[in-house]
Formats: sequence, C-alpha cells, structure tokens
Amino acid sequence: MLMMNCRDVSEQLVAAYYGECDAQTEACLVSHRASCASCQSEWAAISGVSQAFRTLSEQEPSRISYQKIMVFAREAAERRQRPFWAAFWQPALSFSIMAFVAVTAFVQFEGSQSNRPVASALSASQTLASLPDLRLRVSNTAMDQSPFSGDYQLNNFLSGGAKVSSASTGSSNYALDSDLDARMLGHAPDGHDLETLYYRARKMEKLGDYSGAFDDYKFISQFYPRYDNARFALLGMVRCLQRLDRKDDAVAVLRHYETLHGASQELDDWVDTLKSETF
Amino acid sequence: MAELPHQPNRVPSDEDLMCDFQKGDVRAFQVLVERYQKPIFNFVFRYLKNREAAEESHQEVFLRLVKAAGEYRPTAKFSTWLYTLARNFCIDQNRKNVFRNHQSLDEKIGNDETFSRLDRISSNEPGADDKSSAKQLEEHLYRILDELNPEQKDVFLMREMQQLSFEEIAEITKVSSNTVKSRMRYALQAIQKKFAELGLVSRSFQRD
Repeated sequence: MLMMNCRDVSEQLVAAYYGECDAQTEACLVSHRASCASCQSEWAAISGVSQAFRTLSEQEPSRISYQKIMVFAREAAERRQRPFWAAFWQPALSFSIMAFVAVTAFVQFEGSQSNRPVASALSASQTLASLPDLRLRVSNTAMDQSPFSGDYQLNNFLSGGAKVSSASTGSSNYALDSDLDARMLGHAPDGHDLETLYYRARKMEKLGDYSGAFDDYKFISQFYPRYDNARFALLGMVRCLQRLDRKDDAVAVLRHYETLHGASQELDDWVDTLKSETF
Repeated sequence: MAELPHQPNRVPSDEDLMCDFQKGDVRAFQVLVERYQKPIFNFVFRYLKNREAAEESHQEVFLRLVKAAGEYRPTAKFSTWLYTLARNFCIDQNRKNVFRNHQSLDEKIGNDETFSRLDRISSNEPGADDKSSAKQLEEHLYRILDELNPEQKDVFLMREMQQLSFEEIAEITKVSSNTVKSRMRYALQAIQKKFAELGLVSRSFQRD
C-alpha cells in the first residue's frame, strides 16, 4: 500500500469525500486518517459543511411552469413533424406577392426616371457591393479560424496568459453544429445570451466602466468569433483598451482586426493615433 | 410450460429520451422535464436567490433546450448539456442584475434604518426569536454562498447541491478536473472560515 503524508492526503481529501477517487487511494486515505488527528479533523470539517448545506430546503417549481414548458415542447415537436414544404408555402406566397409589387413599382419608377445618369446608379451599386458582407464572411469562416488562431501573442494576451478554453474551438459536436443558428438567434448553443452580453458591454462602456466592458467584449470575441457582433466587440476592446491607457494592447487588437476584416484608412489612422499617444 | 424470456423493464436513459424527442416524441421530453425540472429549478434558485426569477429562468432554460434539441448529439451527456445551459443562463442573468437593485440580506428592513436583516438574525432583538433556527441557518447559508468567489460558488453548487461529478463540472465550466477540485477545496475552506466566524462550527478546516 502507498504511504501518504498529510500533504498528499489533503490534496485527495475532497475527491475522496465525494467518492471520486480510486479504491487504492481511498484505502490509503482511510489508513492515514485513522492515525492522523489533523487529517481526521479536516475530514470532519468537510463533512460538517456538507451536512449543513444538505439541510437547505428543496424548492418546488410551480405547476404552471411545467405546463408552459410542455405546451412549448408540443408545439415545437409539431412544427418539426410538419412536411417541409408546409413551412415554405406561406412565406413563399407572401414573398411572391411582395416581389411582384416591388418589380411593378421599380419598372414604373425606372420609366419615369429614364434620363437619369447611369453613373450615379452604378456608383450606388458599387458602394453597396464594397460594403463588407459580414454574414457571408462569417458563414464561410471555419470554426477553428477564430480571431485567435495563428497569432500566439494576441491569443495569449486575450486569454490572460492562460490556455484558451476548448469553447473557442468547439469541444463538442452539438456546439459546432448549432453555432450557425446561434449567430442568427443571438443565443449561443451553450445558453449564453450574446445579444444581452453585447448590449451590456456597450452600456458599461457608455457609463465609463471600461474594464467591465472590456471583459464582456473579450468574452464575446474569444468564445463566439462567429457571432454577428464579434467584430464590433473586437473594436469595443480597442476603445476600452485605449481608455484604460493600454495603447500597445489596443494596437495589437486593432492589427488583428485588420487581418480578419481587412485594412482601411480609418483603421490606419486609429493605429497612428494610438502610437502617437503611446510614445 | 415454456418460460417466457425475461424482459427487464429498462429505464430509458436521458440521451435515449432526448433522441426520441428529436424524432417528435413529446412523451419522452415530458419524462426528461419530470426528471430535471426540480433539480434545475433549485440550481437556478440558489444561483439567483429569487423565486420569481428562478421560475422564469428555469422555464427559459427548458425552452432553450427545446429550441436546441435538433442540435443535440448523443455523444454529449444530456445532464452536462442541460446544466451548461442553466449555468450560462444564470451567469448572464447575474450580469444583467449588476444594474438592478435587488433585495439582499444587507437591505434595511422597513423604516428601520439601523438594522439590516443579518443584524436581526445574529442579534437578540425581538424578531430573531420569531424565526426558527432552521430558517436562520438557511439565511446564513445563502449569505455565505453569496459571498463566495463566483468560480468557487459555481463548483460548490454543482458538486454539493446538484451532485454532479467533478468530471461533469469540469466539462460544464470548461476547466480541468484538477482545477475544479481545487476550487471546491477553496470553497470549502472559505465556507468553513465563515462558519467559524458565525460560530456555526468550531473546528477549522484550514491547517495551522
């Protein structure tokens, strides 16, 4: 049998109390405890805390909650069982009518504006095309292409020097599969209400709590890079870092933003401003 | 007479029930709700410390479960998934509550600006006698929980109150199992210290 000293025992005691260590370790612990008053006392202390909290009364949820949940579940199940075309015909009909009305109106409008310069229409369409199509970009982004892959330094900075959690790379299948829906709904598949988090971060920033806002922006950018507002969360991080006088970090995040979403004169100017403030 | 083959009445696992629900079996989901509604309600209640909020929040957790049912894969343990949803929802709710005033044990009672609820519990003032000792202990315990470091509270609630294994908690909180055990140990130490301060338990958890 292994001999254990008090330090070894102390490290294993919590796991042993909750029945989560192997039989051999448990036997060693029992043997040690029998001859060590200090470890015996520690065991009794854990037991005391545990017993006290087990006296807390169990709460009963209301029956109405149960009924609401079940009504929702039934409706969802019925929706899933409907033939696939049933979900489309009503929207398809509405869309057809709207499209018809829009095309008719457009033809009439074009007829009345026939001598309008073609160049202005062209430049408008070019402007639209040049706008970043975030949704398209996001849906084409692989899960492992988080804003932190391939940039160890930034990755390390964002994760506070700690190993980036598996959440950012998607540790389970369902998280991977439903991440796409999560972006659209604003709810992450693991239950985080991303819209609320993002709103809260904006609110805190507005109220001057840059440190708090930075934490939320960072959380969104780090763990939900495919969420629609993730890119704006990155910019939020930059603003907060600027306010917190962490200009070098702000520049690093801004440079990373550029690698993800492309450079622009505005971003370059921002970097220049940050650098001039730093030095 | 030929003996009929023995067919044990197998209790379907949570994962089987969830898969059945994906195929449209509402009865399977009903069994899941019956199994988990109370534990999730209590988990949320202990997190949010408010019955009304717990009612709404635990409903929301199950509604999200229904919405996300299509994405569930039986490779993931159902209870871990459900508790992940519940915990993350509670974290967000608590974040939202930063901006809201909510009743706490420190709040002044009625027009009496002198004594907080906690003062009454620990004092010999009239009023303290009205409460049963069990009720007093319960209020102490909730206050102690509230004062724990959020990460330690997280682990303590899941291990001690919900009986989740350290491995499950590690998966839910996305940290290693050793980190979870370490947080649990610190939580127990902190609680024990509070117990000693309040005179609830005389023995000290911490080594000299």
